[in-house]
Amino acid sequence: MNELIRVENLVSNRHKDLNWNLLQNEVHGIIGPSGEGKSYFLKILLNLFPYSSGKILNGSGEPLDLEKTKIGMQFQSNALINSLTIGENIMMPLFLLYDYNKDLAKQIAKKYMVQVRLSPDVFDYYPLECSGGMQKRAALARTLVLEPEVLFLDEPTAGLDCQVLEIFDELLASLKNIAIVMITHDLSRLAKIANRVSVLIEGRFVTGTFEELQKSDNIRVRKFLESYVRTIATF
Amino acid sequence: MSSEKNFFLNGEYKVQDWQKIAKIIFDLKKVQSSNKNYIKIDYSQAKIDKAIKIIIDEYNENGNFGFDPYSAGLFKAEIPKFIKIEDASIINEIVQKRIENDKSNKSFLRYLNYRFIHFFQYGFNVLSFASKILARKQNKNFQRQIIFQDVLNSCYTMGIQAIPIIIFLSMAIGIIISLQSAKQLAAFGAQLYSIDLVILSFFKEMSIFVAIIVLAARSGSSVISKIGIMRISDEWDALKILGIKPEQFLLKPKIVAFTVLFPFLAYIACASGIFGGYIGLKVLLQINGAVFWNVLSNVYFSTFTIILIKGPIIGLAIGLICTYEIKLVSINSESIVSSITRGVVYSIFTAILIDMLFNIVLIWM
Repeated sequence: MNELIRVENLVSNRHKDLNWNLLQNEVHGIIGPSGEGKSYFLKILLNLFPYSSGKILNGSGEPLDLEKTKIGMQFQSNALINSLTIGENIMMPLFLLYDYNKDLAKQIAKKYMVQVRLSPDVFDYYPLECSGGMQKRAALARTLVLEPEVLFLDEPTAGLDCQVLEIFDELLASLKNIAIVMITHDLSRLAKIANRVSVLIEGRFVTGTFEELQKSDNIRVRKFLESYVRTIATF
Repeated sequence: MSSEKNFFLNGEYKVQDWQKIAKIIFDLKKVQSSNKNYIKIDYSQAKIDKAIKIIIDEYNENGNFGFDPYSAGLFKAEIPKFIKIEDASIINEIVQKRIENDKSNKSFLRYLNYRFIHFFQYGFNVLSFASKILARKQNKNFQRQIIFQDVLNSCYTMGIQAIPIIIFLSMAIGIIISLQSAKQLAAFGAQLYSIDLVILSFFKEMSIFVAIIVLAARSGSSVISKIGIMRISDEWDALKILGIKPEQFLLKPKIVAFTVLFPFLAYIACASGIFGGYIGLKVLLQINGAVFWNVLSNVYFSTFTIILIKGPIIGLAIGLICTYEIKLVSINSESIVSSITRGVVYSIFTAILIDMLFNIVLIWM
């Protein structure tokens, strides 16, 4: 598979030396103890936070240009504009960036709502009138509307009940031709869908499949995964 | 000879005196860093509460504060007077330096100098921000469709909803001016000229002052808080990631709305103030209403249009400062509070300064 993003020797306030890459069409999980800087790393990739040194490159080895490599992000807080309805949030990028006719943008937005298993009836609802699960799906629809090549999901399953989680699993499975990077603490879900996983520990990444990481030389990585296994075993 | 020196603590220290202890520890740490001698606190001769004992023991054992010295308000605490130490000269030196620094920082000229430079730097930053935000556009259709709609929405929330308070304020000020001017001018037998005073003062200045206060304090603070919260809650970042420039989508319509609204609100303030003055003069002082109307209808066109000249520039200044403050909001909610305070104060100050400059230029012309 081709590389989409490559990070070389990235140093920032929260990270010591990050080396990481993302392949085309893969599902890549980022896990690690709380406070290690997982969300911070995604925001550095999206040019929202600065970094001290290192390189962020695209598949051709050139600096990553966010206008050329389309990246979508679903924030942990959903980040829907509260003064706009769910439908307006979803159609906003089409309308503002590509000058879509309003009615056409509305139709497309409703289609995307169906794709993310959101009823078109909530088109005119405001985000605060909807549940957390509905907001997450609306935020995902807003991101998908621009046909991103890479999709960053920051804690997409946090606060969702098991029924909505099932819907979410189906959704992710239905997304084709998109590389997905998912930050999550839901390791069991990640184990089922991820091609590779990167564990962020002590400011560095350790990348591999789940099986490889469980046998990793890095003691902290093994302990982190073991503690998770103990937690679900207790449950 | 032992490398340890002891700082002998005297006196009585209750739980609430922890800041004094913190300051002593801070000074001792400074001495330690400069002389590499670990100075411990000997409190055998002092009467201290348990909490103070814990703090001192923590320091004696580990050399650590055990708390954040800045939150202890070290720089505001006073050093206790009755202290006996072995090496008093070192502590005295540090204390003396601090007293001198405090004095020089409180020097009025130095403070003025700092404020002056800060104000000009701030003004330059706002102008630089203005050049970026007003020059660029998302795309031409975006500018035509969305900004117009958002300007209308902003005009409604910032302007139309502020009309009742403007009317009330202006009428009250109109009544005050009419009563006071009539009373003072009556001493010279010139009570009738209070009509001119009310009408001209509102056309030229008072309406602008009322509009400045209402627009900056009410609308400016609400804009900063509403969009500032979007900066904290990732909505701003989400727009950036979608490729929508938040400055164009969120801030530019507000700046346009401020510029357009100001003359409109000022005229409403003017009409309300004059009406308030009419109430004051006609109802309370029984001055002839026809005379009032005669003076009003003879107002020069240049006087009538002065709001149209000053208004947009003052509105633009308020809008730029308030939206610039939004850009300064950082990731915690406390920064919104300071941005709101700064935005309101600086925009009122700048607006009045611009008004003053206009007055100087127009009178000179």
